[in-house]
Amino acid sequence: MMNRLPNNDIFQSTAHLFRAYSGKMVAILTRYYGVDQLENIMDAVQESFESALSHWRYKGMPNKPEAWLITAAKNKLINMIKREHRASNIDFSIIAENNFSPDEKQIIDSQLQLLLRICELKLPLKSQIIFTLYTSSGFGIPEIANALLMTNEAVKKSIFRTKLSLQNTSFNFDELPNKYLAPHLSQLHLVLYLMFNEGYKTTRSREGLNTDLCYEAMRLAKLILQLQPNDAVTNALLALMFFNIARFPARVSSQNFWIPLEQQDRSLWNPIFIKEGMYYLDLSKNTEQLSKIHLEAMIASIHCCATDFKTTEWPKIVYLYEQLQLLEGPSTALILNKIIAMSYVKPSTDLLTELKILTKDLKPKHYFFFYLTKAHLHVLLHQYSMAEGSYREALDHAQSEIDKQFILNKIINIAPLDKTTRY
Amino acid sequence: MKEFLLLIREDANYGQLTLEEMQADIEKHMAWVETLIAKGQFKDGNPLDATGVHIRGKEKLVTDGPYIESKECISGYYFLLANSLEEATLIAKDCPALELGAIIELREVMAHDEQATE
Repeated sequence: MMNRLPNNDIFQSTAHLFRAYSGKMVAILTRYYGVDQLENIMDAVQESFESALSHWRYKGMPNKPEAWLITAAKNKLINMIKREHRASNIDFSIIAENNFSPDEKQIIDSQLQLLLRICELKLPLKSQIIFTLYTSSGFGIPEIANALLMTNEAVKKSIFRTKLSLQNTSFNFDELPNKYLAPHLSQLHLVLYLMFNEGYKTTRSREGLNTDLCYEAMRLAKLILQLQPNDAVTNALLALMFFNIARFPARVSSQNFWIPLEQQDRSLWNPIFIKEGMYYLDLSKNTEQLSKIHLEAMIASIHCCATDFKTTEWPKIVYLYEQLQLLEGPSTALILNKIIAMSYVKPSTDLLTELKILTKDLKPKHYFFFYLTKAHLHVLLHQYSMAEGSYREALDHAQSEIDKQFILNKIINIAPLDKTTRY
Repeated sequence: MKEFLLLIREDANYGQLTLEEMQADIEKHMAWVETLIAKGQFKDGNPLDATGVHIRGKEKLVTDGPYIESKECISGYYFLLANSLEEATLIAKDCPALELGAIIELREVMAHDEQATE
């Protein structure tokens, strides 16, 4: 009789199982056959899924689908290597190793090692995200291009370059016991953090929610915890991701409008994800040293705990932004966020003054958020025509349709208020 | 009940699919077969390897299979149980392979003369 797909993970829908399997297979085969074989390994893994497609259609899924796939991929890989070696007359007896039955621990270990290895490369973060998606997440090239809003060619080039630099590294994680992994984790945290944000960001620039990248980042973060369950930053990272993804359904309206926090229907927030977030936030407190990610997770938790917008504990949020500023140094984005939080504690013209200080070294990438914040302050201070002016400035710097719509809506909403103050 | 052979003819180039699409396809097929089993309409089914040979006529000329130009081939078969060709057609219309562009051929297995056919 056929077996149903196992589904024992809260956010790992069956739709992502193949991807998860693919990452495991690539990692374990890379461990056994070396990073030099990566290209063959990727092909063998892909072909094993094609075999699964033709067999399972008729016979149902085998009892141990994962083992079935790994064996199929390994056999295909060995055949590929044999074919190559036959041409060059090299002895390949060493390759056809029989005792190949990796246990779960070994697989997880290999996955983490591959991830860390990618993050150790001296490459742009975006290349690291692309290569992680490619090797560890079972994303095909068109899927990566689609998720990151790139062309297929650009993705291919990036993968090619990363492969080259991976083959030129001598870093050997096999010799690295788990307890020494922690120092290498911070770069991986950064890659996963950005992968998650990329999912969030690209959602802004096209229709519908692009949650795939977010779920992948979460799955990979959970992988770290399987080997390092007490790692404080990883727990904080997962907390932050759960809090953010919990609120996704309320963020975009059915007409694909961006809904600001204030107007979000909080009943759409996913209570299970919020609970998960709280769970990981609790685990993350097991440290003396709070990270940036801890503080961001705490800010998100305050939003998630507020039953409505009015009862949000804004003073706490302001305090946490101040701590972030101490930790990270004052960045424009951080200050803008803090000013918005402060405006909800008490709107005042002082905030406009604080905003003005930012103008002298404002970079183009901040224009949009800056004018949005300025408009927001004017609205709270009932200066509607000035608010409209700032919204129009923001409109000039809006990158995507959804952002433009968001601002146009704001302008329409303040138009009647504008008249009442003018006369 | 009569027995029908369902042949799936398709361009078995699954490599073009993403892992998600592959998984979705397998899940659809498994759900379809499970329904058939539950209704007592499923007898057997098997995938066929894309490579094969063709042996022709008295000369017994062996070639690499019939479809040299195209990758299209019979990728698998099912034996279905149904009361009539019409009923079997309805069942076959739900076969998920159609969604990937397959062509389905449905043929009744001829009963032996000595068997009662109702």
